[in-house]
Amino acid sequence: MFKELTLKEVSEGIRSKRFKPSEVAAEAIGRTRELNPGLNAYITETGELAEKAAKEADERQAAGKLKSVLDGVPGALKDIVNTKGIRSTSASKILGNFIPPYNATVAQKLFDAGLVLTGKTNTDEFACGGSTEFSAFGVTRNPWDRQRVAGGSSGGSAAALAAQTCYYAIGTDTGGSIRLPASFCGITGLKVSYGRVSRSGVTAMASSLDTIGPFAKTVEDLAMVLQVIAGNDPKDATTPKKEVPDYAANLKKDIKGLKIGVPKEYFVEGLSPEVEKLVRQAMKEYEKAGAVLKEISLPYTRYAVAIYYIIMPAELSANLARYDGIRYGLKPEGEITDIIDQYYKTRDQGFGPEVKRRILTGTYVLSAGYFDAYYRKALQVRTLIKQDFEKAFSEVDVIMTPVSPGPAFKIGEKSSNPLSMYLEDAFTIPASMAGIPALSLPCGLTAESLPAGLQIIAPQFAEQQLLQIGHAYQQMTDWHKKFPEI
Amino acid sequence: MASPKKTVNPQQNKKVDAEKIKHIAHLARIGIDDREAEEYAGQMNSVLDYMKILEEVETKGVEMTLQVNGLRNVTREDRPLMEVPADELLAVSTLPKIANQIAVRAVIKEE
Repeated sequence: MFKELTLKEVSEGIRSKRFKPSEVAAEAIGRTRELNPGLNAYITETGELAEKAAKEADERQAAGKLKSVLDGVPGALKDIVNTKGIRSTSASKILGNFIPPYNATVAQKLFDAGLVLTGKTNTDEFACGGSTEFSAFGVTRNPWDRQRVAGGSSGGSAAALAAQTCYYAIGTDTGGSIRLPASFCGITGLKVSYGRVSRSGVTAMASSLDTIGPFAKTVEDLAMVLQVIAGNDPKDATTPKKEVPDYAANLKKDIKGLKIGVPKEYFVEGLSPEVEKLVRQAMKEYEKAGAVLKEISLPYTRYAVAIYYIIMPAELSANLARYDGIRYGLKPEGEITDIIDQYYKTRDQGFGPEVKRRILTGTYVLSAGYFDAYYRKALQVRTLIKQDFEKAFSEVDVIMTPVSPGPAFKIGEKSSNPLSMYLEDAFTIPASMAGIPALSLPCGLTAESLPAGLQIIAPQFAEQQLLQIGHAYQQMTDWHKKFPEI
Repeated sequence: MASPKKTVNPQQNKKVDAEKIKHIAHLARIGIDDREAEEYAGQMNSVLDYMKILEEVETKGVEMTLQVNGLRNVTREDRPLMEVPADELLAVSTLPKIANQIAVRAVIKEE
């Protein structure tokens, strides 16, 4: 049985020839086939391709020519990451049959490193949601409790990993879409600084906020994946030419004297007392190891959700204007009278309700007469939120908060009330607005055996420091070793 | 969690009604029916009501943040970075192709 192993352990086993990539892959593919019907973590399983890729990795192993530390290790990609020759739906009916003729940069880098792809994972349509309930391919169920959501939008990636069908998974995070599902599924997830990982070939949602990052079982594993996917890409002009440090080799660091900011705005009414207790316990662990906790204030936190639901739909409505049914997309049903009618029908039949809601909101806030009241105002408040963090980081090294106000909620509980769903992201959106990195670490289980998550936020491009601090926690505790029994 | 404690000038934002939703939907080229227009109007109003908390914030003289990593005028050589054969690109479209082009409905109609 390999499923209990971490990515690092599998990688070491392959490199030392203790086992073959095809042996690891056979188990991962088998588990995917067995568990996916109940969980719906994957939109498309790619078992046959994985078998082939694993056999090729076997040959490289035998010849002593492994391509990277990830070579031969099974992993999954969120279905908004476009993959050449493999259907990439963005969980939308409008792209239901879309087979891209190219790879996203992140996919290309991972294939070049030897990815054995278990499949393309479920998400809210165009990553629009916090629960994976808004997928055109059905809801993803949480492996800890199948009556509950896995979080979103990268819920499929999180559930696939928590169900131990793969050893790492790629997700995207625009307002919390990696951190929230990582927290709900009890695994480790990283939202990188904006620009750290190329967005080229990943379906755009909100272009000034979108980031791509890994889920894994441990911080060490995250570091190994980040190493491969980070860096400048000429195809994405927002990726700076910043050196990619050897994240995995520099994880050990004494946290004595580390200054941790605890923002009072994140410990307020609405936060589940159980989650608060677990998060505070985690911070105590750091204190015991010599870190210093300091209460801080991020006064503009309470406006983050409001500006997110202006800025994101504005950018989304512009990005989704390209789905006109001409170069790609759905062939609409019914008689088409003219080109405008073709747009109407394609987009009406192709988009689901949450995406339509957001396109309408975005079109509204950008329209003449409302631009100043909403869009300009939101971008100004975004500056104030960014400055909140800059001030805080002049006093403390990192900031610790809960990832979400509560553990995974029941399927259907929030899907008919957009605002209550939007508030699930209240603790993850501020870091997205500032473009800074944040880690989601499992930090305990509630009385109902549901995972809770600790969020650690660091300054822009301080991924190395963030990973060191997260790694220190996983050396002191075992929460990251808990998996649902399935 | 950010929940509105007070609302300022509750009358300032005109309510969005089904007619307005239909107009926006037309601008966004989404065909919607009356039932959907009513539903979206209600939901959009509750979201726009929530956004009124922004009226509490004084933003006079505050710059807008449109991007966060400070890169400016990123340029590169003007050549394609991805070579995708034309037939593979065309194959993605569901519409008929004529002479290596996608055939679409007439845009300009004769009256």
